[in-house]
Amino acid sequence: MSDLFLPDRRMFLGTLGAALFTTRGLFAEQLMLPTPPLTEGPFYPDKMPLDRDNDLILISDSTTPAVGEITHLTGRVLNANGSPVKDATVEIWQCDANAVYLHTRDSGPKAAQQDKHFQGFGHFTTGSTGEYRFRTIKPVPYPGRPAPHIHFKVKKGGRDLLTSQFMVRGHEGNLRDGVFAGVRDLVDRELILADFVPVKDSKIGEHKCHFDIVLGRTPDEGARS
Amino acid sequence: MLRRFLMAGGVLTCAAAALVAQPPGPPPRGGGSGGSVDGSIERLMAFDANKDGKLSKEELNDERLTALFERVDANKDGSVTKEELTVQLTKEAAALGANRGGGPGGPGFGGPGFGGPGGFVPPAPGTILPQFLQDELRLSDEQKKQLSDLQKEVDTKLAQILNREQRQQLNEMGNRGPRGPGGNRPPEDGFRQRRPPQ
Repeated sequence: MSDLFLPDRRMFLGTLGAALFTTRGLFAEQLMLPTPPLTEGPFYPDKMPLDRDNDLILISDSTTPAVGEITHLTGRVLNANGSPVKDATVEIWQCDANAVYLHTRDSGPKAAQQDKHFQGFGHFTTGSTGEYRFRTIKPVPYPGRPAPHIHFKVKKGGRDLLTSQFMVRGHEGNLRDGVFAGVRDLVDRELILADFVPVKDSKIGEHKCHFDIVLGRTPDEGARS
Repeated sequence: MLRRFLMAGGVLTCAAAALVAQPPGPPPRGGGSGGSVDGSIERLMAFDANKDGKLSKEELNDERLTALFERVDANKDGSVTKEELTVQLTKEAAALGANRGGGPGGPGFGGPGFGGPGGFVPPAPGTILPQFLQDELRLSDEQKKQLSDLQKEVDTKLAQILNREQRQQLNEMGNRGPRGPGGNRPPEDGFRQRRPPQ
């Protein structure tokens, strides 16, 4: 590069980089769009419940289920190249059907309305297929958050790989929600929406929900690909 | 003397030009900004492997984007053109802006603001110290109790100051759009309504 280009070198490299990105299809298959990170919010449990399994509807040996619309939540944790991520721990947490979180700052003052049978938090570690599954309730709105949502984290090897949340596709509250609106890119908004589909022939009104999580970086790589 | 003056003028002009010639900053805020629609279109068109200006279902085979694909494919011919994308995304960006009351009313009210990155939700009118500030300040339990009592007082007194129509107006500003289906009604109102413990 001649000295003539030096003052504009940054812009030149930037343009070159952009060109490389958009022509990536010529050299490699287009990478999957990563699931965007979103705020953790204030209620990641400060005191972990004794029962942290992937069934949030029943706590330990209790036979009394949580209030709410039972939802079978499944999905896969994937790398940007589409390959499944093994040994990733997916954690989810959400408020109960009465809009109370499992966090002393929320369930403390709202103890009277809290659904004591809702586990509030669960985790699941993926196998070689990258699949995860939970049984939980369909999320409900929370004061200040008209968009019902489920928080999640993905961890591997003791590192936090992603913190985010997903919301209900088509819920009218989304359009009034600050976090949803804060997702500037319209495609990113799609990536944090999930469909809650009624399970055919379910006598108890169950739903199913599938939500794939695509990590922006391969957990085993240090550098960006 | 004149030459020095001219040189100084020249330097100042160059400096001013350099300031003006800064690379553009982040796209303007506000719902429905053209910037984010263009960015989204670019990200999707990157999947146009054969560069025919259209996205087929095979090219955009990410099942997470199926719902978007079907919304955008206006003529249902199994492919999405850049034009169809522009139309639909612009519409959706505008809808989000309208619903959240762009303009001095600002983003929706209703309870403490959690707001994601760039998505700050201002606290409801009458909130003394929104939740996130209480967290930041690390209020003690005693302080929180005193604040809570003070808030109750403020809520009551404010309700007495405003007349019924004004309270309703405040409600409506905080809750644009139809109410959700029955069942789990969000406990929050535009006007701070405290739900008493049951």
